[in-house]
Amino acid sequence: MVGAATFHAAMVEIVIGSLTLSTICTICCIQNSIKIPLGKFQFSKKTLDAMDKAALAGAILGVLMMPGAILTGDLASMGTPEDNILLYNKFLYSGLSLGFWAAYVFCRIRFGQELWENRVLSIFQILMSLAAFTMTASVASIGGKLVRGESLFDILPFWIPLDQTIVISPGISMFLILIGFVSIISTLRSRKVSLLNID
Amino acid sequence: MKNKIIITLLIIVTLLFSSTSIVANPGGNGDDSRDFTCGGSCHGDPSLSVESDGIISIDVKEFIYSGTTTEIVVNIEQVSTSKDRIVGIFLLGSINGNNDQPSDYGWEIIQDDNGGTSNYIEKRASLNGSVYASWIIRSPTNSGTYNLFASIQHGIEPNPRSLAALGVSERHEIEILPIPENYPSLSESWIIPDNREREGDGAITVLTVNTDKIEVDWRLVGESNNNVAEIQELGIGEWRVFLPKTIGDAKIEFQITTFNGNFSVEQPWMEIGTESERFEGSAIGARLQALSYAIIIFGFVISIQNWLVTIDFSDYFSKVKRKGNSGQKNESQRMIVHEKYPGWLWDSVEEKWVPEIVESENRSDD
Repeated sequence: MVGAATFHAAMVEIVIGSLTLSTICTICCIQNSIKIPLGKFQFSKKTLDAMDKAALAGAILGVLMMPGAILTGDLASMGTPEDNILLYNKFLYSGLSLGFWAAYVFCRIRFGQELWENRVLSIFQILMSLAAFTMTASVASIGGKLVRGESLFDILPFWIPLDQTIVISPGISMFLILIGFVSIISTLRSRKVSLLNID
Repeated sequence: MKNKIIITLLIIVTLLFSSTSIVANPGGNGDDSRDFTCGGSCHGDPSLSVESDGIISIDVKEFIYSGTTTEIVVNIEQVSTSKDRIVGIFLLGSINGNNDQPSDYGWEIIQDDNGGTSNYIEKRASLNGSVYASWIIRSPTNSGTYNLFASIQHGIEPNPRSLAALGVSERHEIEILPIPENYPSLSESWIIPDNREREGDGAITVLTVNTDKIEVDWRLVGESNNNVAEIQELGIGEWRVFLPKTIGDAKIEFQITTFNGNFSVEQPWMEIGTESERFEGSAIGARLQALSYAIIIFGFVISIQNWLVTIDFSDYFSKVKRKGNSGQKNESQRMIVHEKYPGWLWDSVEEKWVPEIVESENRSDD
């Protein structure tokens, strides 16, 4: 019988690997809108197209696998979020990471490959992927702290405050979920209007 | 191409060498009840250890009545440690290697120097290389001669071979005498609570035997002035002692004096803190909060992007739209006729004047 911890390890490796690839490819895609001065590091149009597709595929794979990684991690964990701030934070950072990566995928699909030809939107997309990757790395770092008592974040000159958290009641969380859904729907509806205006 | 391969290989080699070398437990092992084999198995091998330069001494009474509490102080002087100055200190009943904890010889640890009940604790040495640890222990109930040892393990600096330093004290013999009749002491069933609850009056219950009165002095750790605690007798040998509550990691020391008539016995100083604030998270709360964060972040990001589209992306969108769908119709809308400049058209995309003839030729070419 294979335990949840084994599935968790496999899923986390897939998620981290694909999202790392996605982040690197996303950063390289800035060349579509901003020319870098070093000629040796300039990629061809064909390579940049491939990187954009790799970034999107990596992000989609990461977003699809992330709920599985969270679920198996929940099953495999020794403690519960009730008595462990690190574990509680692991949930929260997983949520942030999922939110950022889902938004990344949505925005890329929404505007298509032309997104990279606009300087502002491409920089925004890169910043989004960096924020998403920071959240993902934080989740992985908490995992390292829980299992081995150390993580690669320990060598950084700063430390994300993972030993502190903000607890909000389930009722307020549900209210926030509702507000979130309403704001997403209203934003998407207003977008249609703005595009009509632009056209 | 060759340069790229060399650069890639250099990056990979640098990353591989940037990982730290493997050492046993450089940050310490944590307090626990451990046999001497914990130090012996890892560090007893001469190829993995060196002798510590620390001078270890044990300070304890030579005669103790059986079943009574006493304090044992282990002093370590002139010890050379690693940068983090952590020293692991064992209190042992023997140095057999296993089954050598004080509890294996009838001793009972009531409190260690870090507030727990472990025979192995970790302390940080001072800059001049001295460190001490104390244990409050209850002596064995059987009289006789007993031994106690102290052992230390720590890192050293410089330490190119990643060795651990290991030191063991001389044997310290203690004579356990039969307890005199009616000797006032703490009950064998009494254990110092780890912490007091945040709620309530901060009082602790003390159990004694052969005692008709107790007095309790208390002081903040590091202070020298003693205060007298209020006592309430609950029953025979059961007392309620009111000690002020502390905040955070602060602790107070207290000393119980047991009386039987005019005869009194001062028990060793012990310390106690107050329970830290309880974390009030729940599993379902964590899941819902994570989901709410995900949705809020998603909504926030797409709303920001919408804003970026409306303020900066409009030209791009209209350009794409014209190129993609509208074609000729939009192309004609691009060129604006101006009454003041006959024969010229204003290109609203390129933002320049274009001769009308050239523009019409271009269209016919298309």
